[in-house]
Amino acid sequence: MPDTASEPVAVLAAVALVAAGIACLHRSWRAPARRAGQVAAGWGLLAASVVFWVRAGGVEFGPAYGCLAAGLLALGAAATSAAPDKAGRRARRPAGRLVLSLRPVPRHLLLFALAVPVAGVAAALASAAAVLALPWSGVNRMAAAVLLMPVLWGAAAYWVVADPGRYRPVAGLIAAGAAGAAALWI
Amino acid sequence: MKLGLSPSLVRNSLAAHAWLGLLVGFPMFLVCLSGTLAVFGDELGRWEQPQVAEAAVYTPAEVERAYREVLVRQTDPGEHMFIRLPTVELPRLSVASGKGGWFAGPDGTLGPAIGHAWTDMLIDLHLYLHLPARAGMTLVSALGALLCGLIVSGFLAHPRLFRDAFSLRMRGGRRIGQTDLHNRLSVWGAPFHLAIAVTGAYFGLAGFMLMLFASASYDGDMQAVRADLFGPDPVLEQSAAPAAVGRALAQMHRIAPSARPFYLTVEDVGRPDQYMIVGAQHPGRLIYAEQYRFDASGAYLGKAGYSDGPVGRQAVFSVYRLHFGQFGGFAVKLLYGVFGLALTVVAVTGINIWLAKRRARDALDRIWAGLVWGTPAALAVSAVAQVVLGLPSTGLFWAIVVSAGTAAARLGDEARAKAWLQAATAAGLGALLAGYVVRYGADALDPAALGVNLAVAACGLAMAVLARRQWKALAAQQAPTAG
Repeated sequence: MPDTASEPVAVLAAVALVAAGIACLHRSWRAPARRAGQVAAGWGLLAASVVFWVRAGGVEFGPAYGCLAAGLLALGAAATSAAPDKAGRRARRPAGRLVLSLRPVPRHLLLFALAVPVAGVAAALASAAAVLALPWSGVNRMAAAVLLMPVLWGAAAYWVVADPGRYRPVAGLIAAGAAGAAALWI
Repeated sequence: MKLGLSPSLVRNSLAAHAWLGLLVGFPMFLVCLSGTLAVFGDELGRWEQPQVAEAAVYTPAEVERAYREVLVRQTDPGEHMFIRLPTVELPRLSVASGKGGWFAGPDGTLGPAIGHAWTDMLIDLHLYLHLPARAGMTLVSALGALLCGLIVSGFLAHPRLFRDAFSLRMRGGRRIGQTDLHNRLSVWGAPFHLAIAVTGAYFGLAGFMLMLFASASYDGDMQAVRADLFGPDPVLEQSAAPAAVGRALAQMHRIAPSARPFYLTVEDVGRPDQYMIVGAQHPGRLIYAEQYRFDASGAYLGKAGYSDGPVGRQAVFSVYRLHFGQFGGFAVKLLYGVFGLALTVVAVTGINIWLAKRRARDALDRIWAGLVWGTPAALAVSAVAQVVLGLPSTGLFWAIVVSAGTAAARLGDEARAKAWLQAATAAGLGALLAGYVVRYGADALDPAALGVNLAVAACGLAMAVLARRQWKALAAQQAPTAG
């Protein structure tokens, strides 16, 4: 199986299904009333297209082709339906002077420390420990942990900043990190 | 489709999305823009040195000749030597060590030294933000992790994200247009963005994760971890003769008939344990390469198992091609270009939205406009300096970016700064094209260079149109209102 999509019929079928799926979603989401059937059909057609992408490009490249094609066609559909805002062009905001205040700096520094280094360490420990529970070989566990860690880090950073209760995410990160460290070294 | 999210969750998620976006703003923009261009690194490298002889076919004897000639020129090449074998996509043979290298002609004689410094500057910007390698790659990888957080918070902050997935009000007020553009590019690019974020984070964070595993399960032995994940290095004791690269390559059609060798490295050069790795792509496989190992005499030792070893080993060796769009031919590169540019626009519009929500315009608006629009100008001017005049470009790039931000802050109006910088970029790209033609003459029309030159011309034209439109809008705003 070559790197490039090699079966023209399968490629055409996949593109047609993606286009039909995007058309269904476009019609239903642009309609004033909810059209659940059309939404389901749209997602279903997009899912079905993956079968043909896999047939055309193989199991490793096929899904990537499908995602790229669906994204491109959807952005194209959005671009063709671009409309001027009814409110019209608004006046520019007035010019002003930049006023810098040091008051919020400590809070932002604390958030930074929690969302970046602390969340990063906790995510590393938690993902390394989480894969230990999986019935996989050492190589597969390490690979899973390496690919899982950034997702956990990003989610933890989001939690730290979004949670209005400041102590809850801190306690959560400490608990996750400690549990991870215990699972790894004890 | 409307996601059933509570108003407080949406409000908090939106605040978190804004906070994380502001935290990563400009570095994310630089990494996305340079990464979009880095997808075309091979094409840019060829364009920078159009005079190099090209041929997609080679014989093992020619490669061996080039390798031995480099060994004569470099008596102490260091631990590793790297031979890039010609392929249809990059039909150039080169031999290099950590101390430099040369291209080789079709007969194996050495030609010009490898010297695509501007492309290297661009790739270094993407990989390290021009910081020291370890710190830079860690920072860029952390941006990948935080991009995951931005994707999560973005979805949770917009309950109508799918319902509005085709709504694009580009001619409305600035904030509405920027918000729609940001949300549409984000939602339809989300699978691509997630893949880029996770694979991008891998490069700088994998080392730390492996240190954790080494400490927890391998008594701190990093070599043992690497051997488990990437396969063990062969243990050899040989005479310190030059590696028989020709003999190793000559066996590849028998060892792996369907594989396509595209590089050869010599490890531990000149030492008793030196060995060779032939990296070969397997059709239909996302792995960067399967590695076929040979001792110094060219005797086959076995393969590393990236093509048929544990799934985890295959997965980590697939990260590179997925991140840089090195599969599916040039069409996929173009798609990566489109989606990479979309992610760049998402990074910029995110900050634009935050700025537009403030009551008044101030120096922050102007500095941001200066940094954003100063970056393409800096890339264009640095390319003129490096590619046309042979001057170093990294310092110049940063000097222009900082100057653009500073000048925009002093100019008093971000729209005017944007117009000036768009015009400067158009002029820079025009100068680049003219300078390139003057310096390389007919080589500018060579297929290796023509594509990039046409792209430079198209970008220059697009920038000129944008600048003209911006000036017109400014003139219309300043004209006295009739009646």
